[in-house]
Amino acid sequence: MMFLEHKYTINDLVNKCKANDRKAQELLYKLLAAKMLGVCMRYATDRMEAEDMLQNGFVKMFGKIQDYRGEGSFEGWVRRIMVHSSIEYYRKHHKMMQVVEIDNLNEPSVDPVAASNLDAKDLLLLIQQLAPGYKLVFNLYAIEGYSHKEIGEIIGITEGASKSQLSRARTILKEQILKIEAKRYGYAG
Amino acid sequence: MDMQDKEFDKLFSSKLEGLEINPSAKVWKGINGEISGNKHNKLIPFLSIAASIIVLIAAGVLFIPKKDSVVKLSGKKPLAYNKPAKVKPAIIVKPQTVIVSKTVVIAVNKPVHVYHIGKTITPAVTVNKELTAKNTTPVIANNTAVLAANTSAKIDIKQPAIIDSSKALATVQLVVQQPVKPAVIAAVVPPAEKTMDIIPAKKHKIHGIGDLLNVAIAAVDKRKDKIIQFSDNDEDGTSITGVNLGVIKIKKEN
Repeated sequence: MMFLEHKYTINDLVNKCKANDRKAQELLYKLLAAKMLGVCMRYATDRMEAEDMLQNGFVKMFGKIQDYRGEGSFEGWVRRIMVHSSIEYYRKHHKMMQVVEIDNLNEPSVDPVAASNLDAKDLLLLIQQLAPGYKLVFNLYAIEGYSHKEIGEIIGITEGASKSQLSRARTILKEQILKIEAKRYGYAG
Repeated sequence: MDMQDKEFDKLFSSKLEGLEINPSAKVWKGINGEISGNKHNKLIPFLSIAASIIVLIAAGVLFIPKKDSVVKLSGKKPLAYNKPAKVKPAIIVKPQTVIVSKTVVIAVNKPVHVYHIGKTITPAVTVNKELTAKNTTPVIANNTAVLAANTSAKIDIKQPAIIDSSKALATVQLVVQQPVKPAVIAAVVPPAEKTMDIIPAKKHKIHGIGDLLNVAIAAVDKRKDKIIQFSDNDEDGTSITGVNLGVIKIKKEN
């Protein structure tokens, strides 16, 4: 019941937003802003950048809200806009496909149990520190759930490039996790 | 290996998918500013389009009926047929009468046929008297330097026009000369060049409907550039030569 009521509220707000109701726009923003900043943070290098992406995304969303026809969840629709807004931001501000070549990198093995001790903030920081291309592909594939084909279309790279970037992103992340674990282990000892 | 990758991805997605971080207050301010900014930007072109449409319509309304009225005048040939009754309602003659006086000055040289004219002119001139009496005052208020010259000319010429049949005839000749545009007598401005000499400062002359309107407008609008200014040409008839809407000023030289 609560869920349904919540749903209704969002739909109600969406309809009011379509009529350019400023109050409804603010309420809708407040309802979704924290979640969407969580999305943008993964694509950004820091909070400042993430808030810029968030702002651009919301402005874009309010501009496009007439296009939302109630098919699928509204939150999912907004989330996709945020992702695209973040990618667009990257295109403007970064040389996106600047790929850091990492040769002869050994695949480090990470203990999943140990890694699960890392909290969201640690993981977020790891992603933010990735090179832009890796970060995008990893976010889109591992968290947003896009296929390599879709990712290739969104970013404008080949499917193969998406795959190789993903595996390199994983390798780097694993390395970083090992370093963190090592540090913790070091402190503990 | 594959499993490990999937697990690894899941580690991130499970912890980051539901991540919520409250943005700072400036984000909403920025969004709000951009949204309302957009609305302004959207309004401005609409306003300017609306404004230009209004200006165009106003211009159209002012142009079209005037051309019509000029045509009517020429069609009636009222002076030739000597229908004083009709001459009077054609108050449009008002400004023209002033010009008639001008034409008289120049036309005087030429002797003319008299017959109809003696009749016609008298009513026409009497109308003039009334009108000039009423009109000249505001006119002078408007174009002091210019019309002052005109009025003096009028007085000299008109009165003789009534008294001296010979001079009255002179005006008649003008009518005869340009029989096609009898009503335009007012506009029969061969004197135009000469009046130019007389009136170097400004080109104001009461010539047609346009000038009549100018006078009326001048009575209301005391600015140097009136809200709308007209001029009359032989060829074009009445046309707008100046618009002053406060913000927008358009003025045609000539």
